[in-house]
Amino acid sequence: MRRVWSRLQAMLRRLVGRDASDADLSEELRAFVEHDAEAKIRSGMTLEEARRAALIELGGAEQVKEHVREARAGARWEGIFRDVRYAMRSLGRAPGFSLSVIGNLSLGLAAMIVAFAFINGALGPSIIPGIPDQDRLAEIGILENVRLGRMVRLQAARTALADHPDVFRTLDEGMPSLAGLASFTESDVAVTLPQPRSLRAAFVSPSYFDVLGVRPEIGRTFAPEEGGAAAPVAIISRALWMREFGGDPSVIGRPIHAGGQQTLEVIGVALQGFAGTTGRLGVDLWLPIAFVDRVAVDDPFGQSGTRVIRYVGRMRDGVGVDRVEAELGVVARRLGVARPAGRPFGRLVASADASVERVTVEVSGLSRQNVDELALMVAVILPVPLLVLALACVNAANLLLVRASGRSREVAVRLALGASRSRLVRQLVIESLVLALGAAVVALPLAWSGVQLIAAFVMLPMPLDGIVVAGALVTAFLTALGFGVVPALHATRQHPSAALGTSPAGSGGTRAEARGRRVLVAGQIALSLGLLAAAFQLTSPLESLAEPPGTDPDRLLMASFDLAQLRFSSGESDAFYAALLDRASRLPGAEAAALSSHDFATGWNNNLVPVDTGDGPRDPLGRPIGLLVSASSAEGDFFKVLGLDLRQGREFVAADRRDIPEVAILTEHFAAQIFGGAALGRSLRVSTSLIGEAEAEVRIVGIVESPVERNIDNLRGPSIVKPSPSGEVAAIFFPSPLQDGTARTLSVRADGPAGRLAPAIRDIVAQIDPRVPILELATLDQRIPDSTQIIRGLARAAAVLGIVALLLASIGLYGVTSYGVAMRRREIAVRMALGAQTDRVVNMVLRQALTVATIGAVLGGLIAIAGGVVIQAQLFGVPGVDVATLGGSAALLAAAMLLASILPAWRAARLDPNLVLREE
Amino acid sequence: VADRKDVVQGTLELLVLRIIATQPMHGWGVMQRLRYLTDDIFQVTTGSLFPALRRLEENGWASGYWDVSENNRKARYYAITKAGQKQLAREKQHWKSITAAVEKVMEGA
Repeated sequence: MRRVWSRLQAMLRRLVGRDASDADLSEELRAFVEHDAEAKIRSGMTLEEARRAALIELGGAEQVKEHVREARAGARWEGIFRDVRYAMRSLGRAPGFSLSVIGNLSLGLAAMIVAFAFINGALGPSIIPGIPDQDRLAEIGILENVRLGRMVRLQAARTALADHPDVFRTLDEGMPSLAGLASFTESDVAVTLPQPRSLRAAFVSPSYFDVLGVRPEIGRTFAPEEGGAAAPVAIISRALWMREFGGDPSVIGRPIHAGGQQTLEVIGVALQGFAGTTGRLGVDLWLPIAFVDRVAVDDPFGQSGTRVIRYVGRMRDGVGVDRVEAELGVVARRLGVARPAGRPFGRLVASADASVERVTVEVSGLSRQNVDELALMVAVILPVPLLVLALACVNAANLLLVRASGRSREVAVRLALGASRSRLVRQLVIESLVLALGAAVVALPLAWSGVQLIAAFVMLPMPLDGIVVAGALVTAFLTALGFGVVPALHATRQHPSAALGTSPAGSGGTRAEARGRRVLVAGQIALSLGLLAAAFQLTSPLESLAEPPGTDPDRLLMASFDLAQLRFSSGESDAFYAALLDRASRLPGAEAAALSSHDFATGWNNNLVPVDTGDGPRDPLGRPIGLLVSASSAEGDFFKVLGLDLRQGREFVAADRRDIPEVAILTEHFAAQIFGGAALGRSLRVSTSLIGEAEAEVRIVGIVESPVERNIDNLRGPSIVKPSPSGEVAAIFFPSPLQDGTARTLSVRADGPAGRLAPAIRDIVAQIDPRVPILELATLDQRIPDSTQIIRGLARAAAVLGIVALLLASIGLYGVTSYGVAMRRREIAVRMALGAQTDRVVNMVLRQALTVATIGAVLGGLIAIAGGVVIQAQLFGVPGVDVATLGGSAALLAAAMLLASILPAWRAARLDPNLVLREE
Repeated sequence: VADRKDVVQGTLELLVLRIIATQPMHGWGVMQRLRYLTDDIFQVTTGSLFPALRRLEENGWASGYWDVSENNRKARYYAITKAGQKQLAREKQHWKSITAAVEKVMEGA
């Protein structure tokens, strides 16, 4: 105990009065020398001799002090603090070096942090906003086999609405491990607020808000008795409240109209952030589940009166998912659901001969994600940031070696003064740690902006939380060891006399190492050129992609509608659209107006319908496989609006309109592909419903010019009629919608900018029926198709990566060239002393640097061309790599490389031969 | 110099403690005494002597103070503490058992 105390006292004494203790030691050592000298004088030496002998005996005061300091308790920590201070000072004196290392490392670290955030978001629990304690929620899924063409797939089962109360009660009573059970189903709904709006609505059991744990911001949530149709009440989201009602509390008690007929009273506003259970399609309106068949859009894929109803329960404390599973297994039998043995989790494999019926149940978290898929994504993506980080480390190591060779004298002096090698290594490594920490500080905001960029693109939350920051710091620490230890060992390996006596170039490494470094830099240059070329290549077609030729997209105004949200009958909707088309085409400033069942602004190939030509491909059993082509109704002056000329036959006339169409018009491309051009008058069969086998036989009465769409070529499979190389689309048009759908898109061609027609369109709609919401109202050029967004995202990613790679390559070349100059200082000085001109020295350095750059550029050119071919094959409408693309990227590269090598060359030329040679 | 031995690792502190147990002494004195007692066989450098003295002080086995030496010079003296005496006894015991063991092997084998 006393020992500990006295140790502590000693430590404190030193920490407080370090200098005093040092002075004490000097005094003590002086006393030693005096004692020694006196003794030697007594034994017969002269005063001078005695002093010298005594000093030799002491063996260097500084060295003794160093030993004493190291022996002290707590000296290690004190030393580390001192080393950190020293590192910061010495790095501050070399800002160019420090900034290039930090800049370089921060790129690598930022890439890693983004990857960490991605992994964190992908593998971590995904958080749905507004729902507390999500890990205690379990979703109970009732699944069924569904036949889709030749495939049978397991998916959420549809429940008849009439059965829902029974199913709910059976589940609720049979699963005591759940503290509460809720059910819900979602639909888009037209609502009059009184402004007409289309909102995402959830139809829920009264227990919904209690089970999810969501409280109202104002008003109240559903009472237990408000499950039936007797209580016409609604709850709105806080976002909707702010957006449409300006946050006015008097919204409580106000009536709103939903689904055309139903009047509901607003009883509450949900707490901020809560927007339903999916987290993606934000729900703005909650209604009792009994209103589904009065308000919601009928499920287009289910039989009438059925829909997917989801069940979610909150587990009691201490209950695990396995308990819920076990209870569900028992309940399932009571529900008449057969539950196959085997994997209760994950995707269940359904056999092809299973009938379409409820087959199983499963328990999962509310926001289950496909972990396998995400793990694969991580595995694919992770090498990129790892590569960037590795390159950054190599560059940093190179820069440190340059610095070390410049400091070999300092190191040698310190070694000679008695510093141990381990101390010097520790100090150099601490310097690396300080650099890495600085890089981490820079990398975090860099990564943050990267995350913002990517999170929107991959539709995944990428939280930059404590775990990610900790991961970043650990990575920074490891990288510091990675790039710092080797140069530190290199720098201190020399024998002091070597550096002091002869040449400062003692830390060179072998020729093979030098060549290895150059090869790495050449590789970086190649990579950056390849990425830059890809960025250029992807950016160039964006303009032409956004504007399909021949349509003047700014003169085309498009408005889309879905009257199913108002539960219109087909008669009602026909009347609405007839009036709309009539009034829109008579609008002042409108040249032509048309209706189509497909909103082609989302891309022509978004709505493919199987068409049987009679001699198309067949499956192994000899049944025809429908050719998949783009299909739409073409009502009004459709072809005039789109600027498509009639090539053969006739356009549609009013008499062609039937419930089930009997005639069709094909695009030239489709006609040429399938009938060799001789299509007029031939017949083909098309299926007329999303489910079931209903078909119609149509006669081809006309051929029109093909619309052109440049798109990502995501169309694969034998049954798809691919667009022509110039983007001509295979499409079939009908005089009226194929399925009796209530959704249409109105397109109006204006004689000038079409945007100014928008208020007039809104007026017309309000006059025909004030309840009808316009889902989207925009000119065609405002509606950039998704495919263009993807290409834009890829181009941006390639550009960012290309610039990062270019920066890394520049720093790499700078490091290697500087290192080369440092190694050859003496040689350069000798040459200059012998009369070499400055420009010859510059030339010599530049030649070496640019040789590396050229090799890299040639390799990069090959990568760019190969990558260009791959990109061209994958993305439709993207041109191959051309001279301009390569030239542009190469020019950018050349500029960066010249900058990176001119600095060391200039420094070499400024060497003072006198100074350098005197050092030797 | 060949017949001079480095002090066996770890025993230096024991020897220094033993020397200052007789009377407080300064660094130079400890060094001379060590040479004298071992007939110049043990060669201690200042680089290991001073750290050893400081370690003893930090462990609370010795206490250092400034005083005037026999020839009227200022010097830092080291005196053994109570804890130091205990430690010395312990180490002595330990050393004896080791040397006895080594002796046995050397003689008996």
